[in-house]
Amino acid sequence: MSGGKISFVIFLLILGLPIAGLNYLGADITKWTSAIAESGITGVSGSETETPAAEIPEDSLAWMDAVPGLRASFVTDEITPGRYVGVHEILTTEELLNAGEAQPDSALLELYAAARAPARLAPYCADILETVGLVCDVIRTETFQNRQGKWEIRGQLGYIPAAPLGDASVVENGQLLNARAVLPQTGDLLPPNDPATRTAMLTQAQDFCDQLRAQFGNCVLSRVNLEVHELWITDLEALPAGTNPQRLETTAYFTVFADQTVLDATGFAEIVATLVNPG
Amino acid sequence: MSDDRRQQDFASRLNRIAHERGEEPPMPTDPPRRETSDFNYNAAQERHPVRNTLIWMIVLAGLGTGGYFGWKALPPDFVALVSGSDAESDDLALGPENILETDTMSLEGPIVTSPLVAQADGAPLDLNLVVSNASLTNGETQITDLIPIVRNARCTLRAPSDAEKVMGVRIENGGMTAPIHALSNAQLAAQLLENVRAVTQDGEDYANDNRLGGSKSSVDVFLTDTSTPIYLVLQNMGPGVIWNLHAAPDVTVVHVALIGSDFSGVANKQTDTTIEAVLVGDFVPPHQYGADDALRDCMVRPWRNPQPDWIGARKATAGDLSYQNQMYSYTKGYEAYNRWYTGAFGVDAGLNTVSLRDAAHVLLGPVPANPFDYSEMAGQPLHMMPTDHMFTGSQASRETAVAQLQNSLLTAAIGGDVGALNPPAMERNSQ
Repeated sequence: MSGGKISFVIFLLILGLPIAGLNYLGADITKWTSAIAESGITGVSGSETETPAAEIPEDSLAWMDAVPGLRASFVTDEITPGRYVGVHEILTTEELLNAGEAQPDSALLELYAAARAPARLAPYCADILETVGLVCDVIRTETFQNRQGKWEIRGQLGYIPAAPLGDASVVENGQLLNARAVLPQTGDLLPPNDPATRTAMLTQAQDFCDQLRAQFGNCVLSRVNLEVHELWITDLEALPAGTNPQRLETTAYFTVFADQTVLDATGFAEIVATLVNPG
Repeated sequence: MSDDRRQQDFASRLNRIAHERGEEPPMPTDPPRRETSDFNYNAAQERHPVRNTLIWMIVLAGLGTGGYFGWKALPPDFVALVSGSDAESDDLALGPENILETDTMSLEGPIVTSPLVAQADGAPLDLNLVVSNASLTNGETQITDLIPIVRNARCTLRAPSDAEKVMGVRIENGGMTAPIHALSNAQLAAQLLENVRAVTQDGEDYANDNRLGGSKSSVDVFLTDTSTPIYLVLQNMGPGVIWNLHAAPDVTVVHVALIGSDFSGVANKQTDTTIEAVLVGDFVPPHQYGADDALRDCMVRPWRNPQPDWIGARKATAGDLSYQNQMYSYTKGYEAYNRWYTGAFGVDAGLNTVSLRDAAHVLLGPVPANPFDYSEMAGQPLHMMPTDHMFTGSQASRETAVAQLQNSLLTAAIGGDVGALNPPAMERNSQ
């Protein structure tokens, strides 16, 4: 090859390679150059100017951050929005006020309901601590007046689970799977909204979660909704005197971290449905 | 001509030989012109059309690519300057996310801060061109008295006569702090409900010192039109405004119509000036999107007509759907308001009106030949729309009074201490 042709080829390479590189490997080249720049910065500052950085405790659960929602479900040393018991109260205005307390101006009742909601719902933590939780806290409340003029208070009581959750770190190709099920009732009437029912329902929900953990290696009782339904007067007329008009419907939400090549959301939902309602 | 030195040497040798033989040396002739390669010595130059075309294509492609990305990297204002393109195409090129609010232009229109004076046409003026000896209103200004203005309960404002000129100001917020706090029981409850929800729903700590209701702003209105008596329409959408009137010599203000979403007032009115007040909430419900689109009687919510230079309007032009909806809603709201305004005052809502989002000082009328004396609010009574709780005095004393009012009601609403809004966590072993 003559000298002229060699020069021409070199010229083409010099001109063409960067253009080809930027078009086909642009992102990688950017990372490569950034890495070089960062290593240069670290080298300078680390060698002369910076004092040794304070030791940052290593986050042993950092691996959970790779999957959205995984930490909120499986972390065991804090209350998170990923695990709570939803509680519900339906009150008349008289029940909202303390005994003997004068009724305020009607324009203030919404404020009264909102301001009293946390203190009204905090005692439900006793049911949670008795059954599924080691620590319990009111994390959110909201109130509104329903069509019957009663005040409905809903709250989320976050908790740290008492039961072991299982080891999610051993799961390969893991994905979070969620499924819900209305817990079964006996008879035609929903159970009464009282502490005994609530603790029974929470215990039952935890039992199902324990069975799922035995099957999949982990399970989180991510949510239990204790929804209050009020019987109509016409319903009560057919029932024995003194029947509690407030009945409880409980829905449990289960979360597992499972191999996505083995189990998908539909399959998990079917397993939960069969487990809770085997008939 | 060749630069080959050996050829020249050979020719001179032939000449010397011919000279020694006594012959006539041959006349030097130029050798035939021949293109040679730049690379190979004395080799004939070859033509490379394909190679050269490729080279030029690569060079031009490189230049084009670099030029394109370089152009995109230039500051938008520089691009606009160089290209000379119009605002609309600029906004389209910028994209809505790059159209940002400035100190003087908000999403909902201009902001004119003290000491600049907003006027209907033209750029804001310096305060010194309009008034002299200005002693601006602030939170410490001491007023003498509160004189109630009766709220118009039937949406029947006095109609201007033919001899009166309707002039107006339409803003959202005043630019100075007014020396009064005023709030109704409903506003007090709404403020506390907001404070409570910040704790129970958003997880914030309860802090009653920065969530006080009832504060008002103030605006200076300079009136310089001496041609006819003025019927003044003062309108605002935000928290209440105390309008401080400054009439130049020979100006007569016969009537003031206050239209506002909150409790407002007037200071330094002329002795014979009459005042009426309309509270928006007495006639239209709290605003919801689209609610004001329909024309209706007594649609007194004072919408402002969106202008192309509003940042919100520019974002809409640039394709932002939410701002397109918002500007559409504003436009329809203004149409409905203008219909009521025209019926009530006999003129278009835009006539002789200064309209902007926020202002501290507004000029209605021509720029005075000489600045006239500023009418300070200190030592004057306030003509004020009355409400359940009104506090005057120093800024600190008013804030303390409002905080006490709020705390006492909140304590009653909770039925205990504020700490009950966020009960402590419970542990199993503490049972």
